Amino acid sequence: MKGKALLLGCLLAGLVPRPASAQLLEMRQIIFGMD
Amino acid sequence: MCAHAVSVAVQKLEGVETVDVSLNEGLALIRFKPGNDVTVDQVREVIRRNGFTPKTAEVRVTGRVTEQQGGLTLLAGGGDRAYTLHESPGGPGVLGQLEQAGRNRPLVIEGVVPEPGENGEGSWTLVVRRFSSAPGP
Repeated sequence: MKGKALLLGCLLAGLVPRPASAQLLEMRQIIFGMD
Repeated sequence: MCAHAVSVAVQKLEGVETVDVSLNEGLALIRFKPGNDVTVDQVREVIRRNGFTPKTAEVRVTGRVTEQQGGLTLLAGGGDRAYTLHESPGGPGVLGQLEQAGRNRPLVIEGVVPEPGENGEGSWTLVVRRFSSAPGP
């Protein structure tokens, strides 16, 4: 329990790195006219 | 409602580098800055708020593949959400190759994000067409 609390605290403090997330490079979005 | 308004609105999203909207082609081509946290959902919401209906999107995305709940995913938007990866009909076996290739390094993945459903579902699904290794640091 203490370990989990410590980990949570570290996460909240930004001390534990979060998994890297994906980055969009390019997006071709089809759009239709006005609703 | 016009192409310029949509372009300006999407350009305001932090992380967007360039936007080209062609109403003749019914297409918005968006390029993103390195290190962005933009999601497909966010772009589609801006398009929707400006009076247009977003349909299918083709994307190039870079990231690390992880396994969650028995399937392959790509964390997005700062790690709070994840794209669920699916195999395209024209590329059988690509997910297996992706899992092998992506274990220890970031990849560039090209695929399709389906048209959003009535309740907005679909923006977190990525049908993988092809992938390659991301350029080194």
